Amino acid sequence: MAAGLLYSIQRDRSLPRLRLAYYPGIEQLVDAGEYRQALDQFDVAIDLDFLRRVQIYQEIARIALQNDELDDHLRAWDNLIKLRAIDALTQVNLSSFGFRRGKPGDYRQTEELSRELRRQLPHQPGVNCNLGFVLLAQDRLDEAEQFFIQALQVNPYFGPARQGLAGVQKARALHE
Amino acid sequence: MNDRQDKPAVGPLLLGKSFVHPLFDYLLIGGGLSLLVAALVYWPAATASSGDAGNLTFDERFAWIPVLILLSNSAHFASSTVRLYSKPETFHTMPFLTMGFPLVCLLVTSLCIFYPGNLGAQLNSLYLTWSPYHYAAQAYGLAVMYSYRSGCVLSLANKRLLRWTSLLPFFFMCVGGEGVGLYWLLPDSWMANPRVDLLVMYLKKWVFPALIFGLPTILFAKVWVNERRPLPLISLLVLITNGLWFVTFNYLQAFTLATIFHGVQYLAIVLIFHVRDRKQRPENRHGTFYHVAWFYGLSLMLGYGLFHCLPWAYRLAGFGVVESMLLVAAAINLHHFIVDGYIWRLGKQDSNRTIVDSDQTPGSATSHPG
Repeated sequence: MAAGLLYSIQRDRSLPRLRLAYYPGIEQLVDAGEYRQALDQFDVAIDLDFLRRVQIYQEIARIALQNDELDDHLRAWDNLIKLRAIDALTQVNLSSFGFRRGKPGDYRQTEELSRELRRQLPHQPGVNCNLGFVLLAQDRLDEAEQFFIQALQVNPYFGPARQGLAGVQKARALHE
Repeated sequence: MNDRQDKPAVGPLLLGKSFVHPLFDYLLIGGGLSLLVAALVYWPAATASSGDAGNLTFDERFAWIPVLILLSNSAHFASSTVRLYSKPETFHTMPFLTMGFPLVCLLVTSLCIFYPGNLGAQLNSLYLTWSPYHYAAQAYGLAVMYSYRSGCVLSLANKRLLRWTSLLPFFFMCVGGEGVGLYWLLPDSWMANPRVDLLVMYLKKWVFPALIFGLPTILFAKVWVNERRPLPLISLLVLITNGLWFVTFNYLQAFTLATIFHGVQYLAIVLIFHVRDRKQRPENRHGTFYHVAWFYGLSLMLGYGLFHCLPWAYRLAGFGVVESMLLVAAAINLHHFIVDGYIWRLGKQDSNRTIVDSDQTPGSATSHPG
């Protein structure tokens, strides 16, 4: 304990916090560029601090985003959805966000997330539309068109769906 | 007419015999303060739709809680250790608990930190499952103690009913959720069964809340009829406030807030026992304030050392921050639960009994709780 006291001086003066007391330590790892080590620590936290899993996944999503680790970011949000920890609007935004941040040519996880969201929110134009864009980006034009149309059936004035349909037409024209 | 004159007034009987002052005992030991804070926690939630407070998260609204955690939780966990070593004769009467057990705890903690995913997770679940039992046992002990001090000697049947009533919040938590109680001990596939899920939901939503708040009232009426005098209201309050936290709030909030007020309750009672112990000694030269400051100051420093510095020692040894902090906290909790089982015993030669007996209501019976 005495060694711990001496070692703690000048390192982390924060009192034990309600909100993830160990977070300052993980933050230091992230700041030092040890992103993977920080993520490993969060993995340990998920096992041990299971009552705070929502907060842990939120922190993972945040540090993953800071480090441009899109897959980790989406995985964290996917877990938050499974824990039913985010509301419908956040899910729609997330789906849209996930699509925009997608790495070129790698839409697998974004598509999975969009499909999962659509299962939960089948009548949200934004969710249908985002799934349409993910499919359009993979050149799966017929499937994409179907979801843009569904979005417009719910809201005929939904601009992104109209843009999506225009994108499908354009892609078809290019193919021909 | 004489009978009427001999009968004690109901008011003082209901109020019971306090250790310090009714206001102090009811607010801090009885848990009255926690009811006030419960209202404070609930009030912003109720105005969430209209006021700014609604935009704040639970953590933001209670940014002051970390300070309270240090002053109450950490100090209270350490206080059982301070009490263990400052109580007369403990080295002689409990040699393993005072000298061997801390080393065992250190060894178990180190092993768990070394294997956080396997052993560590089990230690954490054990601590989270044991916590509500510990709070329930404390509520029972306090309820019986106040009842006894106030001259209301409970029959064996009433004591059993009180025991089961006090344990209800523990049972409530056992059917509660992931990693705790039955969800920890039984296979996932059993608990994931839709019928079990439905039963658990029914128990949590209807059965346990009805029992947790209903049974103390029944007990109160039964004791009044059987013993011909009422249970002091502080005994009832202790039971209800302990249940309130677990029924009203979600797991995380319940654990946080119940621990804080359990700590306040514990510190108040342990200080009373310590001060009376010291002042009874013939060689005592100090007043109450000195003994309170000495005991609480030491508990606070030890609490800071255990919860804040000890994890750093593990980090110095190369372990991760998460397992160091969480598992040290779990181990300190478990150490506290076990030590508590010994230091509050009311043996015939124990100084605790002298304190419970002191300024007891005249005319009360001679049997003792526990």
